[in-house]
Amino acid sequence: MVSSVGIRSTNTPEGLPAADMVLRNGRIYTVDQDQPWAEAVAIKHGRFMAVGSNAEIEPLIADYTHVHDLNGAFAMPGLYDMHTHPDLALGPKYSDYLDVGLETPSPDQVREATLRYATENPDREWIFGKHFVHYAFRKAGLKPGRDWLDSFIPDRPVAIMDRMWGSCMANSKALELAGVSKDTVDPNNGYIVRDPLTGEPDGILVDGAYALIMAAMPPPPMHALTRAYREGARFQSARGVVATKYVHVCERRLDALRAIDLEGELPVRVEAAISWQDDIFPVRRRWELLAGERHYYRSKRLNANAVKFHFDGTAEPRTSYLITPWPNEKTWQGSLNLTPEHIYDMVAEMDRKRIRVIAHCTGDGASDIFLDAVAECRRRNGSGGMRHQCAHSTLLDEGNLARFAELDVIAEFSPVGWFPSEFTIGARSSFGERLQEAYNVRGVLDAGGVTVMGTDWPVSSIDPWFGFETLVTRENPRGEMEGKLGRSITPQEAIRMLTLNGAYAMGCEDVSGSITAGKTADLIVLDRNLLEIDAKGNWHKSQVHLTMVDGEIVHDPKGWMQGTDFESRITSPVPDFTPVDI
Amino acid sequence: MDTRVPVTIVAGFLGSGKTTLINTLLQGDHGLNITVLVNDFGAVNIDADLILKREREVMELSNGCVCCSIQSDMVAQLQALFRSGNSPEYLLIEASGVSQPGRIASVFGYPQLRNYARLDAVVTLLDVKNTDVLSNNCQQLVQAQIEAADIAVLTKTDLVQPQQVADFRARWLFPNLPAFEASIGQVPVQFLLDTGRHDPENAVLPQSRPAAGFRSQIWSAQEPFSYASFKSALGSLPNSVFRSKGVLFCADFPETRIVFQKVGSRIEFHKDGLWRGAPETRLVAIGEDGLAQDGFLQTHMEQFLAAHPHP
Repeated sequence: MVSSVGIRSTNTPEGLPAADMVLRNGRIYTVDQDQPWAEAVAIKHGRFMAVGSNAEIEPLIADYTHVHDLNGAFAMPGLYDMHTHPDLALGPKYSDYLDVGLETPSPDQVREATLRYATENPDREWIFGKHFVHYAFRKAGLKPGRDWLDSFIPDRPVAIMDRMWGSCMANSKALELAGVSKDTVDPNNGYIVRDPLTGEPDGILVDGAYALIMAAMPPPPMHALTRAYREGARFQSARGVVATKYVHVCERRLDALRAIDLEGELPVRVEAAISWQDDIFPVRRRWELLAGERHYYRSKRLNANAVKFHFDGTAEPRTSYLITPWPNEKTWQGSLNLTPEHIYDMVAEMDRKRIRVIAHCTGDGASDIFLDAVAECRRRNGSGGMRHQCAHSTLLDEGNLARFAELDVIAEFSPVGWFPSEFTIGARSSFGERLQEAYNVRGVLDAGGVTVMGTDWPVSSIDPWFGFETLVTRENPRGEMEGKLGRSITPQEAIRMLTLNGAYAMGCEDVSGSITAGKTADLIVLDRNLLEIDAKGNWHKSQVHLTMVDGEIVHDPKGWMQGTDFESRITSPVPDFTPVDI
Repeated sequence: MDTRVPVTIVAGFLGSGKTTLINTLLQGDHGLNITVLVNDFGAVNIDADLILKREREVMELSNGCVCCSIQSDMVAQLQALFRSGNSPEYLLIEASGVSQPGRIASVFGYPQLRNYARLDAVVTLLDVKNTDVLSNNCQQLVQAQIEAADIAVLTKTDLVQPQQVADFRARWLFPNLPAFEASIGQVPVQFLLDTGRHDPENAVLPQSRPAAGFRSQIWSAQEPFSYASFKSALGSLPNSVFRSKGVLFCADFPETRIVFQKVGSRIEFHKDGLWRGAPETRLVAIGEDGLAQDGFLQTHMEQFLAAHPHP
């Protein structure tokens, strides 16, 4: 049997015997157990041709080989951010929606801004944006809602959010297009304000009800999504990320990713997970995508062979689904968004289609049901199925730790809440004493499981280095708060978690994830040697001096490859998404 | 009859006097079994003799009141409370000084809660002395607290000149928002609660006599009027009518009793089953100033209804 490592396209010529590029004189940590350290690598056709000492690599240098001297710099495989959402963070910002532009606009100012926007954007069917203020309406003796909007813009759909994002004001046309009428049933997380006797909607939709309007609106414009992904990926790549999962996508988001990919400007490998529930945004033609249209997007850099579920809620409102009641509660266990039966059937069905299930599970009860569902799926479909991913894994039951290895389920941890901070203590305080148990990476590793990390931007910073450092320290990287939360792992384990384990979570560990001859040439060069310094307060400040994916230079801030055949095509400035350092 | 639990939300920025009000209500002799949900026990200062039982998050008082702290997802906690079989007779929620009471009020419109509870009023306390010097962010929060209010209570009015109170009203309040002044830390609690025990046919007057200056009037009519006419007439009741209730004989729904409630600026209508006996509109209003005029309610209603005759 031929190993997949050696397979190349049949129409690619064998080429010359020497390397295309050699990096030598480095301190290269390979994450390959057979050869943890190397001085030099030879790269050919986007793969590591050889990994070893300077002397071992020397014979692979020909006159056409580009040789770069690392001058003793530390290099390692590129990072894997296994859960993030650049589109959710940036899409709305880049969508050019209506922005009244005042903190407390009067109703007249809202009207003027709306009419101006309508005139300036004649091609946009919908007028959507922010914001109006209920207080200002009451002060003016007016009632916001459909009648007020209809009085000046009756025939084009308009929806305007309030300042506090608690409700949306829609006109008759918007309600009509969204199918909101007196017969519409309220969602369970909000309601349509209605005339109490006739039941007619008055144009104010509270909390979850405004999703009804958003479902009828066109999705964010393509230019906003491509910009969001392009900038997100550019930032990630500049921080050493070579592969990532974009979790919660729809057809339009896949189109945006494909557009970037076709232009050759995707500097990271992307696994995109199609959104299962419509609570983040509606996914049109979900079934067609899942049934097979997802393959349309497949390239060397992009796949859509995953699906994202939201099993439970979050810690802050105590909606994480727990096995036992929440601290200080008699019966409240949190909420499970889907029935266990639904979860069982869908996990098995997706597995059968070779689609990875990425399941949001913050409570130990949610991950318990997920593991049960995977066990049932293995029973139905047999072993050797997809490696499904337990996202966040905020609280895990001790009894479940070993099941990650047994069932080949990936335990993904998101960095928010990994270290003591005002945010962690505030948002997670509801866990009470169980806060110390949160993010039990150590527990899963000790039980033989595979753990990965996701930044979960915009929930926390897209910069992977904050979470990376705190895996090792479990302390506040900036020293803003004393103390340690949870148990740490070793620097070597953390590096493996962000590299080879990531590749395992993408199903490509046999061809990527470590610096091993035959694998894809993914590598980063840093300004510091992670294994020779104290992680605390240092790792998160690491500067990435070079990022290489498939042998392609995608980030070269020092201009090392300038003027050579390997000069990076990606030269756009790196957006600044890192929180300001104190 | 509407058997849902009435709910009052007490809001107001930090230091506006919420805790004083809650303490007064908890210890008051109002004959109501009140459950109070508060954000922080620390500030509630109950006389130890009154406390019957105290567990970690719950305090039971000898006058039948229960006090517990809002810890978790409010919708879930309220659902648990209403389904517990020990549903409160009256629910009072003290919103945190830095919260938006509108967000709390809106959960009572959620389908899973609205069959159990009825939002009676959001009462927002406003510190006349200190609000104007707050930061911009805090002032936006105060706006949100006023935005949600059905009744405003101006506190610390004894610490400023009358002109300052008048300026405050002009700058901050809406034209149709009733705003009462609290004197020396005492807020007029007796009209903040649903003292008619949510039976529209009962008088709205508190069992103990209302503060001096408050009056009530009644009006009735056998002839039906359109819903639109009633909405217009009742929506135009002056600010000085802070509470009004009744049953309406609506031409649009001739078979059904329509219950009307007004608390401050909050006006509600709902269907209440078939008429028992001959249909008849009966209204009662309680308020000050305007109601001092004899026949005010009758004149107001008849003028408005005449201006909007039913089809």
